[in-house]
Amino acid sequence: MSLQPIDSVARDDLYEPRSPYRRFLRQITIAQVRLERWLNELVSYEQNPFYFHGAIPTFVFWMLVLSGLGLLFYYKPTVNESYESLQYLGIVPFGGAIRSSHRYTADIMLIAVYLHILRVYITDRHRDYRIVPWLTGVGLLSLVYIAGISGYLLCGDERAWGLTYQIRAALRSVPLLGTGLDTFFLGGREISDFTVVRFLFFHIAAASLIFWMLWMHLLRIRRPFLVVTMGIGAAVIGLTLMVSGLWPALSFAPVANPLDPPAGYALGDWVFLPGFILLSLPAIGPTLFWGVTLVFFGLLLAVPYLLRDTRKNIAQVVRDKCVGCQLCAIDCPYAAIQMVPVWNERKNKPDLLAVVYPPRCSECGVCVGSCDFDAIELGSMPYARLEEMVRDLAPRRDAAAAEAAGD
Amino acid sequence: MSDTTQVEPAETRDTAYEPQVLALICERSVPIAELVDAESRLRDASNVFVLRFPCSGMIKPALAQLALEEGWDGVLVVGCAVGDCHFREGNLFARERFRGDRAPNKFRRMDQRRVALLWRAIPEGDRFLETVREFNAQLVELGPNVRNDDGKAARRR
Repeated sequence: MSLQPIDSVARDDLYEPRSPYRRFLRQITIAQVRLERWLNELVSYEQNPFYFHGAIPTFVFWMLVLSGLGLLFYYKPTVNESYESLQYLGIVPFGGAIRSSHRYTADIMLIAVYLHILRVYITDRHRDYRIVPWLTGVGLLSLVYIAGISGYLLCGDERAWGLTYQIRAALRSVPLLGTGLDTFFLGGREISDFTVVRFLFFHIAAASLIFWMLWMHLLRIRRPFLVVTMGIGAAVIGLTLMVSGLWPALSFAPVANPLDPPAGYALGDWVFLPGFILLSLPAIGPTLFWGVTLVFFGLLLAVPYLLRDTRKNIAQVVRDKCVGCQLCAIDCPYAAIQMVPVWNERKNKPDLLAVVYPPRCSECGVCVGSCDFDAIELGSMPYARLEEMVRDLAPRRDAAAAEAAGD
Repeated sequence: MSDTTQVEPAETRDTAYEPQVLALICERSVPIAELVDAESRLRDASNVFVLRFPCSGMIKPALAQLALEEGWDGVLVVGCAVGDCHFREGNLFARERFRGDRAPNKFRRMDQRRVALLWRAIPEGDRFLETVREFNAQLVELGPNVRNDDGKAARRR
């Protein structure tokens, strides 16, 4: 006789994964958990940065918004003045520090985002009922790239214009749409003051869209962890200030005339800009760049579909037992349960009834634990059977104990 | 001779008593498949029967209470490491419910000494077994769960 309350292929696969891919995922999950437990011993679970993998990018994003607002007061989006206005920050009190921290928190954000993606993947929390957070997460990643790269275009130095010409080349290599994309990118046929305004718009629009997409990212999560602890926050700020102090972010050399492409420039950033190494290859550069970009994002979008679980244990509400107390709707970690009014003839007023939205259900059973009326149960596991199982075990236990005493 | 007759009965009763424990385990915490035999008992502690759940958040205090009423000497509730639940909040909710901070809880009616909460991650099978042994020792100290004539445990109100 089996005592397993939940019997489904997917859950059996937790222990003896059949496919090599499942076995691989299981192994890296265990390695990751071991690492996190080790870190728990060092810094306690309340300060473990791995448990704040989603909150850290959010916190860093707020730092970016604040320092960006500071820069906005001094930045002049014209071809001739953008460079000078950033140089002027050197005289403004804390101007250099704010500029440096804006630049380095961007790097920290992208690194934190990649660690977030990695952890979500490694711990197998990226598929099935988490598909919307994953797909919007890929969208968020692309927005972070747009915001980051357009930030470098705003500096008005050698690198900014170098990157601009590389991006123009890449856009023009797109079949059919090429010239249109180039015009859209520059805000005209040639570089002008409108171009810099447009770059500033790309930069701020991407940042604003991050807010909107973050909302979608968190829609299916009832209580997202968005606040870091004082310790982690202080560590992130400390790291930013330390790096800013050691290597202040400064512009490269100014260009004589932005209308001529600069002879060459130094990349200077290995977090956001490695793609431009591909672009700088002669002839095949743009093709290679678009190929790598498309394959990378395509893979990211495809990852959650590599493995699907059979869904047998979606929560079900027992209508006759549900009293409409909302406890399950509050506790459900994925907002899969909604309370809907149902007309009660006898009372002549509506009652509330819990309704499960199946695509969101993770089959975790938290709602079963939250219901005091046994009115919600996992598909193949009625709560009554669970109680029955506890009762049925008692005779077996006593028999085993008697046998042990007999020996 | 006389010494042994005086001492023996009490001692044999103590050593013969083996607490019967029901373990309610989140299947994503300790590696149950490796620890459990065909009878769903722990290999290293055959007095512990195991029922597994998809998440410790599914385990409500009423179930632990039922187990105690059915005559189990102790109930072990095992979930993932605190801070890291596969389903975000399951182990936090289980902990709050058993502490009486979150509905539904019926913890006041339970003998709290006979219920242990454990938060162990996948690679911590050994640490889990260690705690099981400690819990066993604690239950031996407590003695058998009081039972009524019908064999069921007395309700504490």
